[in-house]
Amino acid sequence: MNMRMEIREGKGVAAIGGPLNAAGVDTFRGQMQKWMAENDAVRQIVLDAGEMDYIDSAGLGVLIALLKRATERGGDIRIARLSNKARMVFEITRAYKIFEIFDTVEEALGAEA
Amino acid sequence: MKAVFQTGVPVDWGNALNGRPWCLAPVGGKPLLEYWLEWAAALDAKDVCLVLGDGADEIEAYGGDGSRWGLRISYGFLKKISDPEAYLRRSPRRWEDGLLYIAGPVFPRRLQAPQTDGDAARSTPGAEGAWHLRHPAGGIACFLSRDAAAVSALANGKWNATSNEWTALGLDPVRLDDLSAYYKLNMRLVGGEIARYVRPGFGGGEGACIGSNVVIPPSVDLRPPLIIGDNCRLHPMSIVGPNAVIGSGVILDRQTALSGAVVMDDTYVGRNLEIRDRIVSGARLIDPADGTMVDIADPWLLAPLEAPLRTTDMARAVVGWVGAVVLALCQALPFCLFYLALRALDKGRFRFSPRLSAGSRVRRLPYWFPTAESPRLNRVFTGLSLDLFPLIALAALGRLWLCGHAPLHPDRDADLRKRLRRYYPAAFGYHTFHATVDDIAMPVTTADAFYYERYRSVLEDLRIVCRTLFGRLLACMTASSGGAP
Repeated sequence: MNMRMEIREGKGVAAIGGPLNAAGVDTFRGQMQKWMAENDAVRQIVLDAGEMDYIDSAGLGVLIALLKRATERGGDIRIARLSNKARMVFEITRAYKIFEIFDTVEEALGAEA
Repeated sequence: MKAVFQTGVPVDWGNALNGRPWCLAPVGGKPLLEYWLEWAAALDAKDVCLVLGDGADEIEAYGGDGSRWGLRISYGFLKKISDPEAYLRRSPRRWEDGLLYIAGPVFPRRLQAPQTDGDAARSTPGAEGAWHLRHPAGGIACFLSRDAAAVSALANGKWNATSNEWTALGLDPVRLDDLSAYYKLNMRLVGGEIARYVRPGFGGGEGACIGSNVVIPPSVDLRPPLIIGDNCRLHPMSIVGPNAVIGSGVILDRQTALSGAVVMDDTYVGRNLEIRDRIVSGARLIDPADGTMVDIADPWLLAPLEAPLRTTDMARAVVGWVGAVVLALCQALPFCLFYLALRALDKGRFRFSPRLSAGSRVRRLPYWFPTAESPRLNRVFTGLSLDLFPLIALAALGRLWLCGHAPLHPDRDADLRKRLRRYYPAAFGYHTFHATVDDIAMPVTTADAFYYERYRSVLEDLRIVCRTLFGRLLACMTASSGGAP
């Protein structure tokens, strides 16, 4: 798992590459928490999942934990460009009811809170 | 007429089935192969040859000798995949009286349910011409003819004539070229067409077709149309349907919703999931629209439920045999003393009853029948499970299993025997739990037989032995101390 963080239009964009599974969740969680601490003013975060080819329950778990933390700070986490395989996991676990999912990063950045 | 079914032909979507042969993929809750065998039986093609390839063991275990369908099944192997008809050329004269030939995933779709003898006659081909269905690449997928010349032409790869109309036979064979076609066929069946394939005596009323030995708690929400195979467990508050096809041996955990979905045999579907418009095969989730597959790594979400392996049976056999020897040695002396006393007082006797032993041989097994006016001595005799001693001794001699199915009666339980894929006649079973002195030879419960076939294990065997021995002892002590029996 690898990730790249940037700020666009005042919102954080985190691009995730590779599978987000039990092997990579600790790295992902650590990097996200560090970035969120360093950029305390950024409330909205968009996860660009275009390169994320798989997610398992551990990955979903850490996403939900991050969403909880973001909402406690008055922010939000949106997911964009979900691959077909990852989308299928989101659907069967009903995670699509928790997250806002967009087709493109631009749509996610432009959507009203 | 004879039938030849090529099950070893490679199929593009076969890798979606988690290693299971494609001919055993469930269609409307039962394997595709079963529809073929039923078609052969309807055509009175008693001799069926299954030409095997990958998954030969599983296919052979499923088909057996064919007696379940009133057929004689023989098995062959496909040497040259590129020329499946080569098998027919080995003995061309064998097919002269007619041939039903299938070489690929073809579903023999009926246009309507056969209701009268006239329908049966209509589905039988005449003496001239042939019916066939070709693969997209041009090879023969399905062929039916009583014409010796046509069959010979097929075997020699020279069959080029046009096909007769399948509709004249009341059929419309469907080629399952991809997962989308497979999914659509299942949805078509669950939408109502399954009624065309339901056996007489069974019904698909209210749009729900549910197999045997299916556990459905009251809180499960069944929303027809739906099809559920045999030996399934639905957990509380799960929602099934509309348009759900569940294979055999499936466990659906609590609060899970299933609609527009096909779940293949032996699959565990985890808790609180929502599966819509998907195919589930073990841990594999498939989108039938574009063939996307995801292998779910978390076994608490989706997982294959492996049928007990041969190693399990080997372990059961070894542990069971040791257990039988130990039990027989422990019981030998008390049995001799009690039996001699009971016989001297004429308080009961063993009677022999014909039962099916392993390998479907009929063996006369001894069952204890007490006389009515001797409760106390007999109560101790059965409380110590000494009435089972002859059966335990037979288990020690390797003639029976220590734990397994109640030995089936060759006539009374013939139908159940045909439906069981594996049969383990044994000294101990669920039938010995509550056996009083006179009900040990009662008819076998179908649900118990299917349950054991599915969930047999060394631990389950241990549970059966302990519950039988201690349960009977406790019942004897309770009755002796004046409590309720």
